[in-house]
Amino acid sequence: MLGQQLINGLMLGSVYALIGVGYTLVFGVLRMLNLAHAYLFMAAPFVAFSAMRSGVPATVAFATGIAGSALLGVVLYIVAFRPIPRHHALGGFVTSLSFGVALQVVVVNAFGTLKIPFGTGLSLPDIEFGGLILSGIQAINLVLAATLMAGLLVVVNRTRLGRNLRALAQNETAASLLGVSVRRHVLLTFLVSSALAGLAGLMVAERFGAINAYMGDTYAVKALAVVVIGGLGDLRGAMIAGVLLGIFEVLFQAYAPPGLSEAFVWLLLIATFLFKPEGLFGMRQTRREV
Amino acid sequence: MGVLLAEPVQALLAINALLTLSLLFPFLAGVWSLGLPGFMAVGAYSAAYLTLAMGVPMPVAIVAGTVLGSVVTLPFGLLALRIRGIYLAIATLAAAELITLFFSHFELTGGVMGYTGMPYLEARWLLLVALATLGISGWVYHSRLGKAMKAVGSDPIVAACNGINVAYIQLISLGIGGAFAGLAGACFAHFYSFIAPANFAFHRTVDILMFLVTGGLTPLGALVGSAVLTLVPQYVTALERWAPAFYGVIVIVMMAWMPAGLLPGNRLPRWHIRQRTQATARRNFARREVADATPPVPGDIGATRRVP
Amino acid sequence: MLRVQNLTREFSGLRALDDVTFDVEDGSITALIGPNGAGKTTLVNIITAVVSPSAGRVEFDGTTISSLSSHRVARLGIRRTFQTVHLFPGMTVRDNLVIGRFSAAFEHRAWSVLTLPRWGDATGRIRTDEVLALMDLALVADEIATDLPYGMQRRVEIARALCADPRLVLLDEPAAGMNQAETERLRDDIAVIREHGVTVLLIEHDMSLVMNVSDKIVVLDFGRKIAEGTPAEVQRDPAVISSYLGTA
Repeated sequence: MLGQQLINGLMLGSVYALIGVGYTLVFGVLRMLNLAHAYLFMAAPFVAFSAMRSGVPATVAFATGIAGSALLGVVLYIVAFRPIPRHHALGGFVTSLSFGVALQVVVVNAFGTLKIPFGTGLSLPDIEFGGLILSGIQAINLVLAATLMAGLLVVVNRTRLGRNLRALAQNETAASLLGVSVRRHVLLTFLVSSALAGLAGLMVAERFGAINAYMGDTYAVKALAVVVIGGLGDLRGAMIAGVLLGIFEVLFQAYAPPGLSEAFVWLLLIATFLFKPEGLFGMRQTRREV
Repeated sequence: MGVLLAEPVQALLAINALLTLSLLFPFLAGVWSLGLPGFMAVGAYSAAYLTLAMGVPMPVAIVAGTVLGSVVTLPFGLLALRIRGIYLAIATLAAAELITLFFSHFELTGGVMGYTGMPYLEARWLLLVALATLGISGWVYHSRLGKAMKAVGSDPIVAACNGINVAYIQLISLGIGGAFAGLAGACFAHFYSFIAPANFAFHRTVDILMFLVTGGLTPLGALVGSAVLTLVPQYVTALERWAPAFYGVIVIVMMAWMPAGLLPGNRLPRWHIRQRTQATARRNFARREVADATPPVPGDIGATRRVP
Repeated sequence: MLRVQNLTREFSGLRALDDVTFDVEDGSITALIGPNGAGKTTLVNIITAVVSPSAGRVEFDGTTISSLSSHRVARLGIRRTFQTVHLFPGMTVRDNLVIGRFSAAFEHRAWSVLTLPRWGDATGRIRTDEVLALMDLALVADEIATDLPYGMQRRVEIARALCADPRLVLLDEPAAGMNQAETERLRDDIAVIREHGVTVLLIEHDMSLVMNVSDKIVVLDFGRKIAEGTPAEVQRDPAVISSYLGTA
């Protein structure tokens, strides 16, 4: 049974990791938290759902869903982040949240508040090993998530684009003076981050077979914990923290009294800020500004 | 006008005003505390328990709720001394969630199903309380203490070099915020006669934050922001379904054009407009310069502790 | 009055201050000069507890202050201005000055912090008016401080330090960005400050100001004290000359 729980934890963890990575990418280049992220996560399945409802085949609908959230991400940047003066850090917090909530209200008014069944009708074989069962969907999700995250790490750490992004994250002025187009890179980051959010949303929608306007809410705040514990701005940290948190949550729910898993996560978040602000798995050096 | 006479609207106005005022003081002093729902919950549940289970007269219970709301800010204050800015916002958010989580599992006050049966408090009393609190807020804001809070909020190191004990001021501002939120919670409990952990979710903080951002970091701003954003969806009934989206659009527009809010100087509009055109010009100029501002780094979390 | 003893400060291996020792006598005007990066502002930051020393200590009237926090140091009677003006935004000149007296008011009568600035704390209000008159700021007392021209803002910052009835005032490059007339005005202001019995530690680059107004000059270079004495002595000191003009 433990093995099965671990697999469930891994599934949940991969979703947390994907969302956490999205948060981290934006925080890295803008030093602001994009709280609309989880709402973009929610939007993609609805876009895909609408597409499928009008007869578009599942794979195209999924692509549309991801494109939809990516596009919304760009709109989000233009509307909610670009106009904010840099020193008004809480501004990004509030406007992105507003954007997200507005998005949610639109979805509620268009689709109602109840759960809507969602499925591609694809039936894939289950994989069995060592007494554990991994459904075809789960396998695909895991592989996809792992590939994407590995790919992201490679891009960020080994390519020129990644180097530009890291330069931008460390010192925007210097980077732009060295020829890094700030606006283009930030837009690209938002595109990728939002696409990842959309993908995560589609994965969850497919797994649970249903979508609703509030599906992003629990992930929103939990994923915040992921990025903090993993270290704000630290890609690898977010991935590790996401996976671990997913595993912990499932194990806690299976073996511990209810509500304790949430309390544990919050306490861990607070403890991280107090004792290890660069994150539990922070690979970053703490920079002390003198 | 008829809408204004409706009790639920009055109550909503009063409670939102109280909550926005409770958010004002910590933020004024630079303490980005999102612990609001937690303080409100403590005020609500304690006052409700006192009247329901212990038969305490309502006014006394409400005062108790206020005091407890203030007391519970102490651990948050300790957080505020070690963590700063947006990181503190997240940490206090988590801490408030912990409080709500506690009440979800606290069977003595109904757990998740909620707590009900509190004696009824009429809306006009809520309005009175809100007005009184507004008066107190205005007084504190303009007093020496208020100026010290503003100083601490804008430049804690310089404030300290001028003799101000930054930690005390931050704790006091949090304490005031907690008291107002506790008061709001206690009143909430006795108007609706029903409270449940779901009433004290992050969602509420989001709304109140929007009110404050729209109105500006002043008591008058808090009042105007909360009143306007609470009333408009009431008047335009078609808007009620879209209220959060409406708030969202307002906030986004405000951030772009008036980041300081509607009444940042605690002055009435006419005076404000003349200042605003100067301010806008200065801000647009500053925006280009500010791009160089060093972003906060995770390791830079510590409060005004000196560089070791 | 102020004793700096063996003060050392390292930042990740870089020695901003290296074993600096000197005294500031009561009622004097002491100047701290040196090329950029010599460690002067770091020294002031250590005295006012914005930065803590790596080694050494600072004594004020016999009390060790290097382990105290900034506001404690300020309450002992040490006030300062900053290299770039740091007035509190959104507050009038008068309010900025009054902030300096907040702790005094609180200690005198705790209630008074809840009073509106127009009432209460009579001593404070009188003092504020005095300082406003002294620094020629009475006319702009109710303007928003950050709206004023830069030279005036600097005067407000000095006024803020004075309003608190300090015993020692640290002026960090007060003449920066000032023209000739303003600098002369500053010189007069500093002299008046001394006349009121306040000791001054002045950090400056403007040599004419420093030479004219100081009783004693301490010279720093690369974090070390390289000279100390009267203006005349320091002007002749070969170490000072070479640090400013460079070795041939």
